[in-house]
Amino acid sequence: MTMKEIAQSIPEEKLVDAWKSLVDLLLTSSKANRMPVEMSKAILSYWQRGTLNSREGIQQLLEAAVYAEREKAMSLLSEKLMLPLLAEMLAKLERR
Amino acid sequence: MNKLTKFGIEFVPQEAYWKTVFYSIQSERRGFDYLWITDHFNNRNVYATLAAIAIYTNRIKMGPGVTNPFLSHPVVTAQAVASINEMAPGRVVCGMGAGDATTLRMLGVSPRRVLASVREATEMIRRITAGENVQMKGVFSVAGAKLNFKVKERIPIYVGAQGPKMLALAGAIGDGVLINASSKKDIEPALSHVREGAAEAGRKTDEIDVAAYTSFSVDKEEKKAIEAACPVVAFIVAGSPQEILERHGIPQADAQSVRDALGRKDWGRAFSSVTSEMLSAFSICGTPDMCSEKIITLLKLGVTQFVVGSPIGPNVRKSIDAIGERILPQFK
Repeated sequence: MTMKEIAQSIPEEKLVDAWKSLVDLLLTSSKANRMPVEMSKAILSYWQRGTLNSREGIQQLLEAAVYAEREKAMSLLSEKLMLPLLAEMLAKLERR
Repeated sequence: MNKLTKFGIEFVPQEAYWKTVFYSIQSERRGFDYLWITDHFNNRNVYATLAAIAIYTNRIKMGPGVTNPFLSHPVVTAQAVASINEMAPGRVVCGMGAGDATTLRMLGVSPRRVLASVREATEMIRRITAGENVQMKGVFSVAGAKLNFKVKERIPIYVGAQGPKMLALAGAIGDGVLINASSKKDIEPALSHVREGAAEAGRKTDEIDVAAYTSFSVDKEEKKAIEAACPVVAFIVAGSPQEILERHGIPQADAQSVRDALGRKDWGRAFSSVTSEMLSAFSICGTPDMCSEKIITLLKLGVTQFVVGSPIGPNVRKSIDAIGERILPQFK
């Protein structure tokens, strides 16, 4: 499963919770200060256009979260969003 | 209540640029009018940060809040704000003040003739950004300073002030004044100094945008807002002169215990030693309704811009949303 497919598999009713939780994870992570510039630019671009809550925006957030806080990103999916299967899929993806 | 009140927000660029830009986009969307970015050598550069913000925003005004004439020559500051203005035409302001003594000391800089320096820097920036070929002699001397490009819009200069003389100077020369205070007991006397300075210079106070640059923390849970405010308030208490502490009825011994704990880097003790009197004197914190009440008190004194300063809240993103949803609509 790809990151795109994981983002596509998040149930509609959990999208708001997903993007807000992922954003908070990144904003409060010191490791997110060191993420590649193309990741931060992509997030800002989606945020500026008001589409960070879209599936494409969430895909960007997931990629950044996995890069900066892999374990926390997985526990966010499995525990907070109650999506353990997607967390498992995420765990299988290789770190970029 | 004046429905034309402006709201500003301060960010300290101590984390990656993209986070400050993220919050800036959010602040613009939530209805803030001004962004103030602090200028300390040990954080991300203020103008690099402003350049990024300028590109990602469309409406909000922005500027250093505040820079000082001791670390960057006023000519360089003029060049910087003029360049940012190319990216955000008509949206640039410049906060100018005495600078932070602690970080200046780290660089071996001992500010001298502070009032004259701020006065001259303000004049120099104003004239250079107006396209003049400037020749001045004083604390800063220039013999023919002129930009090679035009600045189409006027860049308002705000004077950051706390002491009586700087407040009066702000009243005399500033397009605005950034008063570093959060309570009526400090803002009220500050405003009278600004008015005196304005009157002496033959100006009307309503020509000056009077900004209360507060330490602010909001959350739906009061306890969380207070917890976030305590570290900032502890440092304010530690740096406050006796006169200010007395004005707020804060016992010297209480302030000393905060200072001592900070000196030992015993953060837990320092922050837990912050009393409710200290919080009330040096911050605006609590639930959105509690904060709104305190904002109203300041606006009634004549404040025309309310600046939400650090820490903003325990979760900055949520706090900006809370301000946008629950506080700003009452004043706009």
